[in-house]
Amino acid sequence: MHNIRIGIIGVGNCASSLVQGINYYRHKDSEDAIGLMHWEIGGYKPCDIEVVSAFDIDKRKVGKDTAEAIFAEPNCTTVFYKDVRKIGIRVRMGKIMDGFSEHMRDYDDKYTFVLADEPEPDMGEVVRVLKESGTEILLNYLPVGSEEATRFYAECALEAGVAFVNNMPVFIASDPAWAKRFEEKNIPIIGDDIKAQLGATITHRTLTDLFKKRGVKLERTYQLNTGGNTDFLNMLNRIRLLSKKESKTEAVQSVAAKRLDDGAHEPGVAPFSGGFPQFRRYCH
Amino acid sequence: MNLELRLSVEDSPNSAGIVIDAIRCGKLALDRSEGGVLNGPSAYFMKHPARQYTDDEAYRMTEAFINETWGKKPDEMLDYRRRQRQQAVAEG
Repeated sequence: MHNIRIGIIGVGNCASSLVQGINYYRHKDSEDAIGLMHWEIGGYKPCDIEVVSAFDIDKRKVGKDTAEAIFAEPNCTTVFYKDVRKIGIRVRMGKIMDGFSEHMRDYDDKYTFVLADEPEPDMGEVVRVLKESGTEILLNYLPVGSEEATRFYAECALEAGVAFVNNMPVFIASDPAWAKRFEEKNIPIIGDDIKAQLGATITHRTLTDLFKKRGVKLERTYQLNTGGNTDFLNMLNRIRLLSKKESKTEAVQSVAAKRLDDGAHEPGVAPFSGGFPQFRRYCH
Repeated sequence: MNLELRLSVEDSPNSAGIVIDAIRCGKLALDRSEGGVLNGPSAYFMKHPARQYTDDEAYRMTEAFINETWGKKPDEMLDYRRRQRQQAVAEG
């Protein structure tokens, strides 16, 4: 049984935590399986995952070993495992498309993306890298609102014959047309939009489900998220939020006893504030 | 009734374990030559799956996907569990 070979699109905070986590679990056992459903799934332990390809568009990450790039700005997530071993997998220049929002040029480098000057790959190049690296599963961690870029990489996954895990709210697995294409090629896909271990959505869903089970009539509910990292800076462009809002709304509406009227459920993102601790999200 | 809840979380490490589980489910599908949308894992790990289930249902579906019992009839599951026990005994 060999390692599970993954590719990463977008070496941001979430990818950083993932890579740190994989390394963290190397020195743990089943007693320390925090944050996991099971220590072993199908014979695979958390540390049996190996990054074999990575793409980003920030000049502070492109060209670096993935083990270094995960700690480069604007990443600001907590470092809970700093001794990530170098793996010899350099971050490659990715396709920019709508993965970068123009308004982000107006902010300090500490918070925003700084585009690399490297030539962008075409689909053939990405597919070649995926195949040559032996990537089996491609993870999409692009910023919210990267509709075009997500479809580009989903197309690459189909072309290269690699499984796709879509961690962000652009609808691929939940779009019947895309789902059919993955089914026709017999390529697995999991998506869309990762639900955290214990975040605002799962808490909101659980409370809504509890109300249903206890016969409480839910009249109005809201969710307000605030934070100070690049994710929130990116979401200042409200157009990028449309699919995020739909994803969060449906996650809650789907477990309500009765669908709430438009406006009776409101997920929202408050303005980015550099005054907040960069890595923390506050949800009300 | 009026409920106000304030939650302070750090998103990235909060999602890492979930992604590690999703990756391993994806790999299981590859090993079994299963393609298309993985409905149980998508419903359990993701906010916007192709079809929404309650988290309890999604959890059970994902467990069944991992144990290969999804879609099996009760007698088939009993047989499956019997074979699992026999295998565990044989392996000591």
